[in-house]
Amino acid sequence: MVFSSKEFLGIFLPLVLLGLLLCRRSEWRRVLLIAASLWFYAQWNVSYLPLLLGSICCNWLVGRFMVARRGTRVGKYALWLGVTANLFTISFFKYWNFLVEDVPGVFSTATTHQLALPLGISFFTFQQVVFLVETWRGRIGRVHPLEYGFFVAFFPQLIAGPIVDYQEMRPQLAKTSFLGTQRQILAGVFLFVCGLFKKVVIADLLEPWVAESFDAWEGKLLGATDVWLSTFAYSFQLYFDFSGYSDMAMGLALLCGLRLPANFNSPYQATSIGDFWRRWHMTFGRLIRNYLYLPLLGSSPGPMRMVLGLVAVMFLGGLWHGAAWTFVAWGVAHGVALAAAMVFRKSPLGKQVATWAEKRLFRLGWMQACWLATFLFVVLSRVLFRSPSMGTASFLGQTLGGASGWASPHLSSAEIYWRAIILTSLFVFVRIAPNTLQILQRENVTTTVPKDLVATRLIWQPNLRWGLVFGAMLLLSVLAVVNRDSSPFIYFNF
Amino acid sequence: MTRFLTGTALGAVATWLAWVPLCQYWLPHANGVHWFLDQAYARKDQALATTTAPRVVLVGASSVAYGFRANVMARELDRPVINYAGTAALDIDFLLWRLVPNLHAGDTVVLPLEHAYYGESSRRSALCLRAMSAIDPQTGGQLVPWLGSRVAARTDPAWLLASAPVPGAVRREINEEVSPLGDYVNNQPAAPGTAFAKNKIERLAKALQAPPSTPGASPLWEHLAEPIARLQTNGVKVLAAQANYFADPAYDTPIWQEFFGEIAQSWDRMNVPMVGKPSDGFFPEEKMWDSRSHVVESASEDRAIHFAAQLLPLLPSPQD
Repeated sequence: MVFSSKEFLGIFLPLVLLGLLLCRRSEWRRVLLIAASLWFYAQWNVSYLPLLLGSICCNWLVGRFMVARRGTRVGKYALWLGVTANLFTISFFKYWNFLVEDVPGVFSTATTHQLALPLGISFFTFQQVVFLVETWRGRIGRVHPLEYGFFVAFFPQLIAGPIVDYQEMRPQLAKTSFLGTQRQILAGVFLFVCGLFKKVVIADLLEPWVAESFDAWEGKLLGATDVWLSTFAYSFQLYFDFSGYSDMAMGLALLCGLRLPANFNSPYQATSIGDFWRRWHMTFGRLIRNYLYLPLLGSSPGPMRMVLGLVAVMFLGGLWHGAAWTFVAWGVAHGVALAAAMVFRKSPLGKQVATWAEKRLFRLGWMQACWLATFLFVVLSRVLFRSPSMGTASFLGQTLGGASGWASPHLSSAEIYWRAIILTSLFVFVRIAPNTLQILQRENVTTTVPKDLVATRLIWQPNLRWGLVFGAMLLLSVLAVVNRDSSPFIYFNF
Repeated sequence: MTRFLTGTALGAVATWLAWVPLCQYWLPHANGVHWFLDQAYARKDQALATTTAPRVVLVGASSVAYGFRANVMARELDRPVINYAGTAALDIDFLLWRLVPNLHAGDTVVLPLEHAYYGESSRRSALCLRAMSAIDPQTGGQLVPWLGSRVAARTDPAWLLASAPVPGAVRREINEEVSPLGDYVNNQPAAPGTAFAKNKIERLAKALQAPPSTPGASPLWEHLAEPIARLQTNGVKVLAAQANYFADPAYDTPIWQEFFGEIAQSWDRMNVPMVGKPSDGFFPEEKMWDSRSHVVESASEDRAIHFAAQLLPLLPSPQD
C-alpha cells in the first residue's frame, strides 16, 4: 500500500482521518495513529511486522537502560550493543547476499537467503541508531514507550523517510493533539496533492522511457540518443518520485498536526556537488554528515583526512542505497566529486576564482557554469545509480558516448522530439520554479528551514487562485490514480 | 477556506472541460493498441467499401485476425472475404453494428469468437472505449452515451503524455502489419532459441484456465441479439465458429466439453449455425506464434483452406 494507491487514498486515509476526528483525546489519537501505522506496514508483508515491533521494543529498552546508566561503562556497552544489533539486522537482510555473492573470498562458503528486504529498514534502523547515540550523549532522556513507538512507526515517514531526529519531534509530540488545525489541514492536503501529482502524473509518465534503456537493453540496439533520453528521464523521474513522496509525507504529517524535517530544496538548482547534497534527501545528508563524516574527521582534520573521509562516507552512502557495486561506484563517484570540489576551493586557483566571483558579471557566468557542471555530473552519475549491474552501466556509459552511434534505431524523430519537449519542460521547471517549501514557507510546514531557502513571491494562501491550481492538480491526479495500478516509490527499494 | 474550496471546484471543472476535448484530439495520435486498431480498421473498412455482395466477413478478436487468411479463403470460396477481427478488448456488438449498414443480402458474417467473450463480460473496457472513439466515434457514441467524457474519465494523463508523439507523426507502417483484406500478417515463426521463442514456450506452458462457468447465461447473447437480428433481417447470413487455440489436453475434459456444448446450444437458440467442431481450431505447439491463441502464418493458411471447405456448403449461392 503506497500513498498513491487506491487502497490508501480510498480506504486507509479516510478511515484514519475519520478516526482522528472521532477520538476526543490526544492520547487516543496517538494510539490510533500507532495502530494505523502498524496496519499500514503490515499491508506490505505482515510477517515482517514482528521485526518492526521487535526493533522498536529493543531500541526503546536499550535507550531506557542507557538513561539509567548514563556516563557509565555499562551504558557505553549498551550503546555498542544496540548499534551493533541494529547494524547486524540491516546487514543480514540487506547486505548478506551481496557479501556472499558479489564480494570475492569474504563469505564464499556461506549460503544466501531468500528473504525479502523489509520495507523501510534502512530508514527506521538508522533513525533508531541516531536515537541511541543521542541518548548516550545525554541529549535525550526517558521516553514514554508509546511516544517512542509513535516516533519510529508514524506511517508518513516509516517507509522512506524523512529520517527524523527524535529531538526535533519531541517538542511537538509533547504538545500536539495529533489533529491539525484547519489551516494545517488545508496546507497538508495541498502539499499531499502536490506530491501525488508529482508522483502519478510526472514521475510515472517517465518510467517507460527509463525502462527502455535500463531494463530492456539486452538484445536491443540502442543509440546514444536513446540512452541520453532515458538518463535524463530517470533523473527527473527520481526527482519527482522522491520529491513527491516527501511532499506527501509532510502533508500527511500536517493532517496529524505534526511537522517533519525538510527533505528537498530544489536540488537540481545546486551550484556545487556539496550544495546538491545539502538540498537532495536533506535528512540523509544530515545523518551521514553528523554521524559519519564529522566523527571520522575528529577535532583537527588535515586535508588528506578530509578527502578520504568524504570518499569513505559517500562509499557508505552508496551502500546505504543498496547492496550492489553500482551503488558503491555511484557513492564513490560522488565522494570523489565532493573531495575534488573541496580541494579546488582550497587551492590557490580556487581562492583566485572566489576573488573574481565578487565581481557581478563574472559571478553570474561562473555560477551558471557551476550549476551546469553539477547538474550534468548528477545526471550522468544516475546511470550507475539506476543500472541493474556494472555490466549494464558500462554498456550504457559507452553508448552515451556514441559507441553505438547517435541515432536511435527504434524511436522515430517525432518520438524523440516529443520526449525532448517533455524533458526540456521538466528541466525548465526544476531549474526555475519555486519548490513546495518556498511556496508554503509561511505555513511553517517543516521542523527545519533550509538556510538557503530563497524567498518567492508565489506564496500559498487558501484563496481562489490557489484553489484553481489545486483543483486542476487534484483532478489530473485522480484520473491517474483510478486508471492505473499504483507503482511503488523508488526509495522504497532502499 | 470557502474561496479555496470554490477555487478547487472551479479548477477541477475547468480542467475537465479542457481534458475531454484534449483526449478526443490527442488519443487518435497516441501510441497504443487503439491507434493500431484505428489504422487497421481503416484498412478493413476500405476492403469492405471496395467489394460487393456476396462476401464473407470474419468477426472476432486477434485469434481470428492472425489465424485465418482472407485471401486464401477468397480463392477457395470464389468471393471476397474480409477479416474484420481486431482484438479481444473490442466488443463484438460494436463491430456488428458497424457492419449493419455496410452488408447486404447475400453477404455472410462468421463469428469465430474467442472463449473469453462467453464469460462475465469485461465489456466497454478503457481500451474498448478508446478504440471505439478512435475507429468510429459516431457508432460508438450511439452505443455508449457520453462516449467522449467516458473516454476522458478512463484516460491516465501520464499515459497519454508518455504515449503521444507529435500529432501526425509517422510510426510503424500499418501495411506491414495488416493485409489489404484485414489479416494481421506479421506472425512468422521465431528462430529457435531466441528470446521471442523462449517467451512463447513459457506462455504455452501456462496451465489453461477453467472456461467461463455458464456461457449460456453470458451477457454476450443479449448484446449480440439485436445487431444479429438486424443483419439477418437484411438478408445477411450469420454463422459462428471456433477460434484458434493451442491444443491443450484440458480441452478434452468434461468441463470444457460441457462449455463447448453450451456454446453450440446458445448459438442455435440465436438461429446462428456453427461451422465445424471445436477441435478444428486446435493447433500444436510448433504451429503457435506468440501466445495460446495466435498461430503462425502457415497454420493460418491451413486453417483458411480447411475452414473454407466447411463453410462452402453453408454459404448462400451468388444467385440467392
